[in-house]
Amino acid sequence: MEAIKIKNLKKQYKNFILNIDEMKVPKGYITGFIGPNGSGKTTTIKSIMNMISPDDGEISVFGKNIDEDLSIKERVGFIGDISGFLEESKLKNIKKNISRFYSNWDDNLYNKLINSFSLNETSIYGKLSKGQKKQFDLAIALSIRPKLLIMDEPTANLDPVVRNEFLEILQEQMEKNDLTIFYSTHVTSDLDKCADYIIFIYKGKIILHGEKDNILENHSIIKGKKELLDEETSKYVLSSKVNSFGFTALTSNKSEVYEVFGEEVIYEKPTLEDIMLYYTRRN
Amino acid sequence: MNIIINNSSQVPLYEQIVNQIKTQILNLSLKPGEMLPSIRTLAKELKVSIITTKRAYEELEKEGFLKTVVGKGTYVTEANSERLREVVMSEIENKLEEAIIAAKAIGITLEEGIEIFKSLYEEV
Amino acid sequence: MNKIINLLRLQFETIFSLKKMILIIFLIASIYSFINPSLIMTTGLLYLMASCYTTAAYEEKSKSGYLFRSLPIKARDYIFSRYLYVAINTLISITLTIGVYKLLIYFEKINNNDMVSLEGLGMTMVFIGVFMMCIVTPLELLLGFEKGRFVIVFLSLSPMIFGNLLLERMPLINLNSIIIKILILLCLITIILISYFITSNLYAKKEM
Repeated sequence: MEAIKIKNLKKQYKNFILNIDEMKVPKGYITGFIGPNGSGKTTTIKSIMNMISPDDGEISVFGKNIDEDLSIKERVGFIGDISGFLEESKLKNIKKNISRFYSNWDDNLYNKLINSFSLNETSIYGKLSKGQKKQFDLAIALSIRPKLLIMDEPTANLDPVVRNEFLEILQEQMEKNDLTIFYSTHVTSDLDKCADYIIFIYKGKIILHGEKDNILENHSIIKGKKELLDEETSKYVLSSKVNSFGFTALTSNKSEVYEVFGEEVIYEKPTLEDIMLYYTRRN
Repeated sequence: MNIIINNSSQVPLYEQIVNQIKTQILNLSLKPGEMLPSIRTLAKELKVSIITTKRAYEELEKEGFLKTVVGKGTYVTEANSERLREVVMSEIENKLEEAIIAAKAIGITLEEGIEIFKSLYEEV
Repeated sequence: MNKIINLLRLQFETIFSLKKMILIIFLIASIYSFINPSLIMTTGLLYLMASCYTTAAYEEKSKSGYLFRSLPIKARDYIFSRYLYVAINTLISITLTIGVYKLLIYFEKINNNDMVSLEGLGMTMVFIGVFMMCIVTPLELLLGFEKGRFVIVFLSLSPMIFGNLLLERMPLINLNSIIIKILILLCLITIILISYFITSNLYAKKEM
């Protein structure tokens, strides 16, 4: 059973259409959801959380509709752009009220996380910095002991130090628990290392998905003299950038391209950011 | 256990892990019966994906270097020195083959070859 | 049931966080009543508005809607707790008003003759409470303060205006008749139930 399964999801806005035939988030792994701004990541996530109603399609979380079976919703932690916590409340009061809704609440874990983030429980939520707010949101989301953690751009606006801490804590939780993490971001460096699966969405459609390792190994950056790239050879690359010093391109089939260019070009392992850039350049 | 990952290498990550664990088992820095960290712990420590470490362990298990006991953990296999020897032997044979082909190509005789082998063996 | 209690606690948390502001509003209203005893209703009304309208405004500012959507609760539980919240606050404001009223009598600011009956006061506040519950709360839940700003402000202020009017007309209703009381009660309950069902359905479909 997948953690999240989407079929035929359609949602139309004035300037944007979301159209996902199929999307699966496997249980027990970290799945990264990448795409440039405006691709539909937030729309998809909001549809999963039932915060918006799609025009068409089926979404199931652990096999059921998330709002039909509340026992499932109790095991889903969500960190969105907006937490909804009252800005005027103290952290300890927010925690007191929220923890009552979740039967699996783990106070020890909460205290451990609050301490490692050096948050003061008597602070007022609204007075925290953006990074601290996200840390608190994460502490709450993890302390409910979710089976599925859905995050929409959790590390945007965080400085590299805080971001790193955030990711370490996530990996620690992955280490100890049967946890699925589904996490959208356009800061792909987070996912380059830790993600198990990647789903790439662009202009409302899924254009690439699979195991991150496979994706990064099958794709390759190639660099060479600009003369090597002509109409014939361009067919083998997804897109390219040419300047007066040479060309840089991305291919999705390293072995095929090796047969075309051989040793005359340099091969480099791409990052997810490269993949995102070259695929979006394609249009 | 020491494992150093090179992210920019062309060698796939899981292969790097497999090779390094294999080496340490063969030179006995990892002893038979020793327990290895879990897939998830290893992923966290090396900062790679869980699938990567899973694949590495699976590969090593297939080759007979590791054994997973459900509920307990993953261990270096015991008394598999025979199998390990076989694996290393075949790797040695491959390397020797390459060396012999190269030697023949420049006309080195069998006696010269054995001399070279002997002196290097004593040196290393 | 537990969930509803928890939701209520969450909502009262808002009052708790804003307690200074609400206390000040209440004190000022009480002082006004002392100065001009015919403004007695204002005390209760201001408390009701402070506890319901203002807290809703702060929650809207913090976008608490997102929080309620992600909690493991059903939409109708949330709506029910909102209605209950207004009901409880109505009772509190009636108590407070009665308290101020008694104080006014004690300090002889008013005599029993020229002032309205306690029952009349209570009834008026109940009507206003139901109004807040069934019309203002749904509007503010469904439209939000941005889109519904004009409507909501207007509706929230109208209790002030027609509250006093109602109070004056109270003696015209024969409050001694049990039948009338039961009829009024049934009417109110029907209105509340209709409003609750409509709001629950619409809120569940609302997009965040």
